[in-house]
Amino acid sequence: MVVLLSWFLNPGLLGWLALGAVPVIIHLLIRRRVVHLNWAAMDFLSLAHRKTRRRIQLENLLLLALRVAAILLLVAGAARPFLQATSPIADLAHATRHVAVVVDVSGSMAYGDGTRTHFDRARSAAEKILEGLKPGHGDTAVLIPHAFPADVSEAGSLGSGYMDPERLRGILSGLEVSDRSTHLADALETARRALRPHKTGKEVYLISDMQKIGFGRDPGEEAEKGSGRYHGIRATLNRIIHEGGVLKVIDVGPREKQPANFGIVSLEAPPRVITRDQAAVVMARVKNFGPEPGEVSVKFFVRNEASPRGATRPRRIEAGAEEAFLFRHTFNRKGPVRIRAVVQPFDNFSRDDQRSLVVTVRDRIRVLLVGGEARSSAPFENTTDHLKTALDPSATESDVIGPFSPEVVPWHGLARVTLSDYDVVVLADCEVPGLSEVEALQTFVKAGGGLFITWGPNMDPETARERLARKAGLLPVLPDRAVGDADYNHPRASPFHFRLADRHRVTRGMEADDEVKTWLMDRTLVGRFMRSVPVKNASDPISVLMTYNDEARSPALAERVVGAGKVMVLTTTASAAWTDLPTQPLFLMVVLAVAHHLLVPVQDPFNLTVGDRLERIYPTFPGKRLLKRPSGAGEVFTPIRLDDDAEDKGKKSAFSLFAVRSSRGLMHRGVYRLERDEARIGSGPDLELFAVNPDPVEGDLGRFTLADLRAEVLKDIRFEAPDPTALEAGKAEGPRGGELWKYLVAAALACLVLESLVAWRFGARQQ
Amino acid sequence: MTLENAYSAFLDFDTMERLRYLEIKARDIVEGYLAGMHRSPYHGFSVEFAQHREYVPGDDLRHVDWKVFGRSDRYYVKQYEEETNLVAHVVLDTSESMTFKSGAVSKLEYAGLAAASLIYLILHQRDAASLALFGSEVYQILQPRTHPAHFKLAVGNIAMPKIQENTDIGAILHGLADRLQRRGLVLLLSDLLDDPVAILQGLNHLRHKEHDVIVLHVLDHAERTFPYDRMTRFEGLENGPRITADPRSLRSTYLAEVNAYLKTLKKGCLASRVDYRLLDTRESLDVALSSYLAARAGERR
Repeated sequence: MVVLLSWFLNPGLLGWLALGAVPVIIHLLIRRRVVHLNWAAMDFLSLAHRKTRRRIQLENLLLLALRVAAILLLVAGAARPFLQATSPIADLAHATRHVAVVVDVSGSMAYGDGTRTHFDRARSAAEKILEGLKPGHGDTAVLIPHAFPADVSEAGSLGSGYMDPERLRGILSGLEVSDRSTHLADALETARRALRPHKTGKEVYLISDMQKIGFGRDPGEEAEKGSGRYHGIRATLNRIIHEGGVLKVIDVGPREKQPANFGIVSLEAPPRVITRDQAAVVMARVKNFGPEPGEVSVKFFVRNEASPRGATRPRRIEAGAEEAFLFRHTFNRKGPVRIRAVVQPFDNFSRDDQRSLVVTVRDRIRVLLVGGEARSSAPFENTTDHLKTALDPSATESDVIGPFSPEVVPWHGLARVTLSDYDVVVLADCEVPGLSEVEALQTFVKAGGGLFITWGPNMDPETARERLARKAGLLPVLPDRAVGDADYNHPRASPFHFRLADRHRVTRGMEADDEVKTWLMDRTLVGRFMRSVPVKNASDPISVLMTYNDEARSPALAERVVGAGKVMVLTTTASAAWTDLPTQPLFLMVVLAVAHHLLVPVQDPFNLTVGDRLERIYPTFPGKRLLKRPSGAGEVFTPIRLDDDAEDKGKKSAFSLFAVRSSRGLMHRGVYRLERDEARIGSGPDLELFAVNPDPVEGDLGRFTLADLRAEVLKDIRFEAPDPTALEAGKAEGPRGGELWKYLVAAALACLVLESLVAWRFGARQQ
Repeated sequence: MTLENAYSAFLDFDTMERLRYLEIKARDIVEGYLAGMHRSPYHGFSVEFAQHREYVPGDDLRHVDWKVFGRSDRYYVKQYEEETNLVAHVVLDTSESMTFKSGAVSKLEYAGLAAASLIYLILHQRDAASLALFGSEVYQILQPRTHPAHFKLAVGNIAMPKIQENTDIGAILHGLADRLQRRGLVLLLSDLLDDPVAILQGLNHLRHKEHDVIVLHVLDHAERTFPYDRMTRFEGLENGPRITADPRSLRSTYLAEVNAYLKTLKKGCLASRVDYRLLDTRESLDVALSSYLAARAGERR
């Protein structure tokens, strides 16, 4: 009985089936309410009755049956019966279906149990769904192989529009697990838009391993916004259901809510510049995403070759914890180098068991020191002497070889040097350069160069504000005037001291070491400095690393990010003219920290995440560049002149930047090669490498079971959950059950029309 | 007591006045004495003048009293006491089936009225009229008389019939044929709801005895049209069966049976030279009798 009732959407109306007895009752009542008549011509009546009795009975029975059938059919139609997909007459109730199949192709779908991956199961389920469609009945389908970010060029994506289910099956067989992540709200919104033109018969299938991060990257943030957890996906699903869609969730994930997995979440060389023949450290952080502790080791490869010291000892990692595995290596060749780290042993999810890193090994770090005064032959009489000594002690102590190669020019010699030959330029207590030199410096910084400026008595604040700040936008602080007494060693002088301000990579080491901190804040004297204020409303990031202990807390060391490069300003001298900082041991630490920081790119252009776009900026025309993908496919890029993007196109600068940009993101993991396409044309590097790695969060395989989904994410949202195993083993996923009420109402009307015709026919005969 | 007075208690006077001057014309020569309008092979016996009567068109010119015409310049015909010797036997069915009525008048009432009218006419033209009432048997017979007072007696019997449940018209007719020694006019008023073969055989028997036979077949209008629409339980008169049925579904078949039956009767009567006339109780009796007698008179002339 319960099964029978489950065939109706309004089973409560079935009670009205009793109305079917009404014609019978009326018939019986009419028979009871007879007129008594004494009749004379009974012989004729008896004869007529004998002749017509059988026929009349049949006619009455037929009319009665038609009336009863009409009522029963109307009531049954109102109860809205529907046929299950398994019904042998399911075709009778087939309603046109418009199906959007969202197949999760994110990296986590590659998780395998040794025989099959989640994706294999997802593909089988999708095939069964498409098998159940009947293009001849007008069924349509759209296949959304979803991963984040979406790849519009992917076959079957919304850009391809609706397709014949047969063609989609072909596309489905060619699908592969991507290196991208999951964002199910995005996928379901795509499905909603795809089905929006249809009024009825809309079905959205979500086939996924139900990875938690796919339902909302940062549910905590959503909660803070007051929109509730998983607001995005819930809003999308509510819209789908409100628009008449039916959601079907097919869970192809494992049984465990948190499957075991070790993955490399980061691989980096600590933020220092790697130079040839200098020992460098590469660090791989491995996270245990699983519920149980485990022991793993990491093996490092340099240029695809296993390093003799590249294999670490196995280490135990607790559940949910991270461990750093270090690898020391000395690179003996300059140029881009690929480093690969591999977790051993491999686990069921091998996608995050290895990661690549590209480092650029430099020969030496070239630093241009521009002196603020004519050179003196006496040691440490020039403004650049302290800097040069700090950067390259080998000049005085032959047994110390550093990575820096400083070169000193007087301030008026700046115009004669090619800035792109240097990594860092230091304007040490100089006068403000001319406009053309400032323009050259601006291009140099925007292309990724580092500029360090120290201010001394030679600098005119007004000119600096005009040229360096207003026109070039290079200064993080605006100089006002010099304050204090240069004779900071005078017994009655009251010199200033440094104070640490914003937490910054450069000052991190100073903050951590109390002795250094004491040296910096108590023992270092600043007699005079250029009072300045931070630039307001700058579009570039500005930070003040150190201040003075004056009342205004004037900036002492500040930074501004300009394009791909950085500018740092010390508002006092790099010589002993205004401060004793250059004579302090601390000076070495500050200079090296600043120099290294200036060399670390704002954004590492060579280590990208899947989906990032390729973008390289060159200070000079690099020539056509050929991008070779890991798959071997190549694509030629013609560099664009960035001035073309400027609003003021009529005033092209002599110093232009050039860029190579990909219009689409790099969707596959691996190492990409960007080479010179045409020999002897352009000045770009012969080869650049780019390591593209998947988002490490994809290694967190924590997932929702269907019960979790109902309880946490999709509560109050109605969805069906076909069993993928049964789907694979059984017949194709058919319609959700077509309704029969139209047929029943039509049949009832047919019964009424037939009854009228029959009654009319019988009546005509009786007349 | 005049005939009009005697009859007025039972008949509509207007009806009788319309019928007054219509005469029954025997189609064939009947046995007996015939005077006046009736041609008789027995001229010259017991002819006694009774009275004059004003001439009406259709009267035989031989009976015009030319002497009176010479004195009064008016046409009178002489009537004699023994003017006619026509004996008309009015046979009225009073079985239970005759009591059926769908309107104001039952078949028995209608037939009784017709019988009284005919007796009046017969007596009015000085012919002898007898009356036989039957149901399952002939239970009342009035011997032929010509006296007007006989009409009162006849009407009294017609007005108080003895309803009998069953009837066998064929046997009744055979019995009458045997009992009626003198040839005459037999007027049968019945619904004839019996075996038509037996009825026709009885009529043939009467014809065989050289009676002039007139059948006035009285049927109720409902019996001819079967106009019922509601579910009806038909209970048969004369111990007939009970049938509950929707009349609409039976109508066509019933009417076909009735028509076939009437056709059989008509055909049989025609073959036996029996004058047959179907009377519908909805039909006005004077119209029906007038038209019938006029038609019959026309045939004779």
